[in-house]
Amino acid sequence: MKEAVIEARDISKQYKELAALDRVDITVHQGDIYGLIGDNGAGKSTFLKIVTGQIFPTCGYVRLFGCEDVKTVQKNRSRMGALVENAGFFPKMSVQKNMEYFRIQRGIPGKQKAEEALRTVNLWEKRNVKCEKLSMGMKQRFGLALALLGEPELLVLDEPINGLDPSGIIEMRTLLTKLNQEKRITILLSSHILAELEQIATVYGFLSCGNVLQEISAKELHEKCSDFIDIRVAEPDKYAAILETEIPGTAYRILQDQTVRILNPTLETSGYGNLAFRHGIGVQGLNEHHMSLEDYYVDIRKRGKL
Amino acid sequence: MANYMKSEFYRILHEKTIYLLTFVIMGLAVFVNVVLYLFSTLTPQFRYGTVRFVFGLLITDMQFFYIGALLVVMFLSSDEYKNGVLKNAVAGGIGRTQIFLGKCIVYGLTAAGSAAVILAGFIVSAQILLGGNSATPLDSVYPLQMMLTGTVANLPFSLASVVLTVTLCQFFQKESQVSILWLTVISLIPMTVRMLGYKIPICARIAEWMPWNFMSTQVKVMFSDPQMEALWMHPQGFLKCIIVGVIGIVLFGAAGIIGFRKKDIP
Repeated sequence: MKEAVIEARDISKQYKELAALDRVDITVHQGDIYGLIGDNGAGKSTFLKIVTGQIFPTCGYVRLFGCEDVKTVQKNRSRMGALVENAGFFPKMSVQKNMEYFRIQRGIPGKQKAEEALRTVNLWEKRNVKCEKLSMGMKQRFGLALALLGEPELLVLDEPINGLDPSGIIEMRTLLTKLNQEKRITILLSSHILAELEQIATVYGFLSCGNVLQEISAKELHEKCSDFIDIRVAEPDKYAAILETEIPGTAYRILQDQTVRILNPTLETSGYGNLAFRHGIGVQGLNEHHMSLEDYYVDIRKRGKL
Repeated sequence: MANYMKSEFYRILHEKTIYLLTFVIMGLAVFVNVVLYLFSTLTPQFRYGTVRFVFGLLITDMQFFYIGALLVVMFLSSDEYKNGVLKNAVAGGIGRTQIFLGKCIVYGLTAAGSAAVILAGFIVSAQILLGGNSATPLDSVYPLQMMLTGTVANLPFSLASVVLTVTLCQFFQKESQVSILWLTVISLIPMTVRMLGYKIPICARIAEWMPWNFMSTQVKVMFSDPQMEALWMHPQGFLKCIIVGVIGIVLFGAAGIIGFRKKDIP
């Protein structure tokens, strides 16, 4: 059993009338790349801010690296690198001086550590540029360099690919995967771009309106997201009965628009059409689907399963 | 806390802010001396071109040090929320009490250093430009002694002003809000309590212990008269300045630490 790096239990955050988080339980295990998914206002950033100590939960607690005591949790944050919302820096100081400032602050020995972090995110060439002159994408890379300073065991990243160009996104993805696989850094990240998360996350947490809808591993999700076929027929109930007798074990769902969704197809797509024809049922549409993370997310929200 | 303080010193030394602020204020102080020198040179009967007069200006307005403390802290830390550096410090594992105390110490020392440079420029330029206008060379010694003693006596409350400004900067992101609240605590409340003291005796007694009040009422410099009086020139008055300063540091510091521990950083 992998050790839990972050255990958030019963976390709520109330802003006057608004409940940003409502009794949230999230667990991030060592070595995970945990993708936090949710719409704007779902509570992703609020949760990450609680983890990084920026804000306090109204109730509940966060256990970090196995410790729950407030002082120890704060101390343990030195083992964490974070980039929440946007990178923090002194705009009038150069990239290198900003790095040096935070290196001194965190008590990280060796000036070369700042250089290493800047080189990792391809920002070493810009070391003498004032931070205010950096482009948005570069500021984001700088934020990541700050998070990487001192070789953290845990990275907390809020929308890390915001503002990055396509090649920057690819580099970021490669870098995060590399850090996770080679240095065993646990990563908790949020993103709106589900296709990106799908490529790197090993565990997903779905947040909606301050509630955790589901926590699911990438493996489980993959199993759930297997192909399905939608067949729109004139008599869905009759077609369903035929499915049960002719292809026993077929998992299906009858949707509202006379569509029968076959969740575990064993025939070719056309086979399901032929089956309807053979029994005199009119076929109005036949579609083969592959459920992506995006489809799953939309589906899970629609069903209000959570 | 040591690492946090070191990083803040690193930043202050590598930014231009404190140098600019120090030299602009010192420039203004020297400018006053230059103007008085020019007037005394061009106007034979001009009575104010003396070291005693310029030092008297500061002696009667020791509150300048409190305002100076406000300026130093605001210039050094007012954009922290906007720049997002405070959240980095917290996310980096530094405790909030450490951050608060570290700031107070670093900004206090920086403000003291800045004040020392400004005072040095002020005193040296006054002696060079106006020292010759004194009736006797000793005429400038007592005002200088009074001014320097007053500086030392006001040091604790100037530090309290630093602590108050750090506290306010933690709670309010706008400089205008910080300035207004600072002015309210340091000046408006003492003046109100003093006025209430004319009707309510207990208020009068409380008002006597508020620096803005006793710095205004218990310092007397008559420029036409050799008499100069300031409470800090007597042991009891000096002690009063120190005690009030220490109480201010403790009160404002406690408010800052308790408040910042619970404050959400946006």
